[in-house]
Formats: sequence, C-alpha cells, structure tokens
Amino acid sequence: MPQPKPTPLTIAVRVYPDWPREDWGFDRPDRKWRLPESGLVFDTETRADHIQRLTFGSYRFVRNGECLVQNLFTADDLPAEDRLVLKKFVDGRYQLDTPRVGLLTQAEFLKRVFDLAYRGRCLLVAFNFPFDISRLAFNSSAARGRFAGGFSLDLWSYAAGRNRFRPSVGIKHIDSKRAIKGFTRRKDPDKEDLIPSVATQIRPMMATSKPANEN
Amino acid sequence: MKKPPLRDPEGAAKRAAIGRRRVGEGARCACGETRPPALIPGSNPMTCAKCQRQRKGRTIMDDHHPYGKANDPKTIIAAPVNDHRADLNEAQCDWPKPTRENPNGSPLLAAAATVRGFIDTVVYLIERGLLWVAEMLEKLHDWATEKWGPNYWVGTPLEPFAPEVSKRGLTISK
Repeated sequence: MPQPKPTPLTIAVRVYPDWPREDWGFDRPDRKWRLPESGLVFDTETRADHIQRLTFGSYRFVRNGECLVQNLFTADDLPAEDRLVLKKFVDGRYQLDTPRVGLLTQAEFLKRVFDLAYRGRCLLVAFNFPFDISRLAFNSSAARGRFAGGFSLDLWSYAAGRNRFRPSVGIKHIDSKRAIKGFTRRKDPDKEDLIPSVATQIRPMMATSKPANEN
Repeated sequence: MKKPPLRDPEGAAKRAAIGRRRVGEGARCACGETRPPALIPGSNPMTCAKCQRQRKGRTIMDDHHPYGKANDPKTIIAAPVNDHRADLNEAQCDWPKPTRENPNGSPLLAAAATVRGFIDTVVYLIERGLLWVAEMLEKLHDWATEKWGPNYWVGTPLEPFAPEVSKRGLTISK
C-alpha cells in the first residue's frame, strides 16, 4: 500500500525556560544579605475621599517572630473627636492582646521609624509600602541619584521644611507591582550609620560607603 | 534563666543592631567573647576590653554604679569590665532616661533607680554567680548516674541530702 504523501503544516513550539538555578547568580551582584531579626510592620488608614488623607495607623515591632510592641498612631490633624475614639479603645478594657496597645502621635511613630528602620536597620514592612509611606510624608519631590525617575518622600520636618539631618525615602517603580525603596542620604550621619549592613570585616569603622539600608 | 521583660524593647533592638554593626557581624575576641559592647571597635585582631586591659597590665575590674552615677555616686561595686559594659550598663540603658540621668536630683527618681539597680544587680548575680552552679550540679548528676546507677548517692555522704520520697514518688514536706 503506498504511503500517503506528507502534508506540510505550520506548527508553533512553545518553549518553557528552566527555573533559574541558585548557583548561576550572574544576574545579581555578589552580596551577602541576612534577614534582619526584627521588623517594623505598619499599616495606615485613610479617609475614603480622593485625597486619602491619613487618619490613623497601627504598627507592630516584631523580633524573632515575637511581637514585642504594638501601637496605634494618629495623624497630626486628626479631629479631637476621632482621636477620642482611639483613646477610648486604648484606655478601655477591650484590649485582650498582649502587649497592650498604646496610642502615639505621628511624630512619635516617625521617630521609631528613624530609630528602628534607619538606625537599627530592621525590616520596614507594609502591604503596599509606597502608598502607606506616602500617607506619612509631608512633602514629595522628584528623586535624584539611584532613585532618579522616581520620587522622594520627606517624612521628618523642621521649621516648615525638610529636616536635613533625617533621610528621605526614595521610591522608584519598576513596574505596576514592584518598586525599589530605600533611605536617601542625610546630613552629618553618625559613623555607625555609614557602616554597610553586610560588614563582616574586622575594621568596619573604617568604612566610608553610604548606608545600604534598602528595606 | 529567662530575663525579666525589657521596658523598651525597641530601644534595646536599636542599640543591639548599632553595637553589632560597630564591631562587625560575627566579631569575636580570641578569648571567645562575642558580646558587641565588650569588644573594642576597630581593633585588629578583634579584642575585648578584658583582654586589652590584661595586655596592658591593667585591672580587668570596673567600678559599677548600680543605681546610676547621677542617683548615687558613692555606691559602687566591682564588676568585670566585659560584664560591666555588656550586661550592667546595657541593663541601665533600659531604664527611663529621667531615672537614669536624674538631672535635677529628684529623690523619687533616685529611689526608683535604687529599685531598678537592685533588680538588675540581683539578676546579674543570679546569672553569673548561681546559674553555673545549678548547671554544673545537673551535669555531675548525669555523670554519676551513668557511672554508678540511678541511686548513686545511697551509702555516700550525699545520702542525708536526698529528699524524702514516698513510694508514689511524691516529695513529702518535712
């Protein structure tokens, strides 16, 4: 029986690339990064209008998986009656969690952000970090340097301007889901703040590089 | 031994992180000291305060003000320099700042500092002075049990110290 003549067909081949292997690593810089043992997890609540102004927020300070501190903080311009609702909750007997929740001002919370996230270099965690951190900022501007093309948020003010002795938070979006975040430089940083997080050498005090605390 | 909870865990975490960074991750003295406040930043090789003083022929004991210098400058206790820096001073850093510094000489804050200082000192003494004895006795018990059996103390000078135990294994109060 004669074989039928083959009929040429146009086909498409779908290719699935291999999963990246750990030992390749050619597309990332050679750096040792250790997960910090502590983290500051925060969330903000806003008005439902188009401005989405901050009303209050909450945070937990977690170390080695254990919640050590949890507090609420209020916006500086929160009306007194709204603040009273939060104060009633904090002072009331409805609190079953430990540690007990306290009530801070926005400035007190930002001091903790500076102390823990910038100086202590713990993780700074939020569900949608660019949105949440922007609720806490009082000013924004176009970023320069490694965040060029993104924007810079000023969290700490002094005399109606930016406090130059505090860093700003730089944010540069990679795509709709991801963004690079980090603290920018500040004026006259402490010696300890100039030591890279990955310093394992025996003379870290000699380090002169910029702080590397991207969280 | 579990230490009493910190009054200010956020401040303690910040101080610990900065201290680690100051000497470098995983820094260790040749003597085995790893607590960052006890290590000398920038020393090469990494040295602790105790070893540095030994090398210079100086005393390794420090005068520690258990109630804070601002509250009671006269009362001092001798403490090893490494423990002074890494344990006792760190414990005082957890006090409220007005209590620790007491700038106006308030008698109430001085009294509060006395209570806090006493607690810190007792915790330190328990850890350094007693806990090792308990751990050593437990190890000795394991070793003796392995060597002479579970009732190794019977017929030895240790027997009078054995607790009275009923047949059900419960301790009977004397």
